[in-house]
Amino acid sequence: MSAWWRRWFGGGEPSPLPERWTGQLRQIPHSAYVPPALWPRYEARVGTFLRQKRFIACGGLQLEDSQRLAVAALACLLILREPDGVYPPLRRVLLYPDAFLVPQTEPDELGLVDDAPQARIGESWQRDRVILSWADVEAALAGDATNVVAHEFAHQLDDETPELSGAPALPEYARWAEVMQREYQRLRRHRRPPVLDPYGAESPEEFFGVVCEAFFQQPQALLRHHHELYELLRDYFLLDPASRLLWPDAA
Amino acid sequence: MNTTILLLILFVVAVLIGPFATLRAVAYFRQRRLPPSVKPQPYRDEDEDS
Repeated sequence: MSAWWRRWFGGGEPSPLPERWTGQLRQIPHSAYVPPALWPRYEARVGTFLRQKRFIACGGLQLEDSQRLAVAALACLLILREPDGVYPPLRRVLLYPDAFLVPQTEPDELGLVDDAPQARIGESWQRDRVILSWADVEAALAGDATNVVAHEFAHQLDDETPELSGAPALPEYARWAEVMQREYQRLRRHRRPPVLDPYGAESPEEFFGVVCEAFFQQPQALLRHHHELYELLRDYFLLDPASRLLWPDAA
Repeated sequence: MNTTILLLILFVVAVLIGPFATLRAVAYFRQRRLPPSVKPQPYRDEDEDS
């Protein structure tokens, strides 16, 4: 009964990471971003994520424990500041082997619905699920500029405050609003942005997802080109990834 | 307490709460049906001539 309650309502004690996975967690490149002082919290969050969230293999994927660990490890980097709770509304993580095709139902700016399906590498549904392409999770682990886990779980954080767009729950928003608004407008004006994915110019929600990707995948470049944005995220996530060079080519 | 009175009280409570519960359920399912935030497959220019 208590396990059922925790699964659905997200409370309870944090779960320690099973011993067999402690060593494997340190093999995830991004775990090097976590300072020693935050490592026990990080391990506990990853353990709780693995116990509470149900992973579903889709599109013929053979789901392995190492894949679950990789997703949990990347997702929990975003919640080291949270006092407790590991994405409480999230129930399921669906993993496809690669990009997946989705029929479009939303009209474009002209009111037309394209009948060609759209290839997606990730989706974040409010309240209960995240869908990911495993090939793109692997690419993120190898240093690709795209980090679909950071992007989709940034949306999950954003959804904690449905009255705000592109902002997680914060004690105060003055600095956040000032920096994010300025950088968002800057990206919208930029034809060929050097670091941020132009997709971030779609909306403040997508901008938050895109800057989180850059923070974890190209931290040195983000610090160089958008230092205020980098410092804002550094203070929010309690991580300083620019101090660790994981992939020399991404610097 | 008389069973009839008890059933009557339960009926009145159900009549009062029912519409609110229905509205809440409708709001919940409407929210669930909101389109997801998506990450489209990035465009990769693999034309080596360019």
